[in-house]
Amino acid sequence: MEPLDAIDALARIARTETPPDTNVRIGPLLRACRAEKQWRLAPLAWSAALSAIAACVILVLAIHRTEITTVDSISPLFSAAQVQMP
Amino acid sequence: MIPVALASGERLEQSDWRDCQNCLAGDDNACTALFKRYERRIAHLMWRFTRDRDAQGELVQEVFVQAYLSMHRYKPGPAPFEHWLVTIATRVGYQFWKSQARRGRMQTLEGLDPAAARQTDQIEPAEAAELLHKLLAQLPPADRLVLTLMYFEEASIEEIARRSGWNKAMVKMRAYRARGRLRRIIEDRNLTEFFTGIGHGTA
Repeated sequence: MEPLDAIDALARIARTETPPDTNVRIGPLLRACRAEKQWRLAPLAWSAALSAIAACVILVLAIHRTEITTVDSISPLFSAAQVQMP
Repeated sequence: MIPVALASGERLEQSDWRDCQNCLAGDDNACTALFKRYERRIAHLMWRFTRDRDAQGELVQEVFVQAYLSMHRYKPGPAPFEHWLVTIATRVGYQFWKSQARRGRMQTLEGLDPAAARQTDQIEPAEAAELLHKLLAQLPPADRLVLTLMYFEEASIEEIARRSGWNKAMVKMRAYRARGRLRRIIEDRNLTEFFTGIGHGTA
């Protein structure tokens, strides 16, 4: 018998094996599943929160910068400079 | 798959779908019923990926964790829930082999004495399965997966393609190449006599 034919014959016998059963405790497993789900979602939540904070900071800075660079805010300085000119 | 009538007269597919929905809604009893219904099937499949009882239990748990985490993606259709779960189990088993291969945990073929070869009708199923498992463990994980599903599960090319995510041409090519590798392993390690002896009974 060729080796590969022998393996085919071996496989026919191997298929008749009755594998052992397991007894998984579903309760703890479900708790682990939920923890895993939260663990997977946590980085997303942190990322979203940090993005929101960063967006707020940028917005506040932008508004502040807009305020000090408006014509109204620099006009007194401009006027003073004009006054000092000969 | 043959539809199985449940005690209430409900078909298995309907029952699976209902339990999936309830499980996603946080009903632990539905999750338990769903997983317990398929535990035996999954345990038997994972035994093809490891011969270690502890590792088998861990793999079954991993399959259920993966199934729970992706249950929202399951949609009832032409493929029943069992097919979906078995596909997850196959991929979990394949990842297990890949991680073992990365760690260099290869099973050896030590102890295969040609004189120990016997006629096939004298070999016990568990012994044959152990021997075949050891032999297939010498192959790279992808080749091993194809031949494991072919030999142990009698899976067709279509079935292997569906479960592995590879196309049919790739599965055919892998099966052909894997059998060639298997033959070379047997020849290189001087096990030809052992495996030819299995059929004829040299003992």
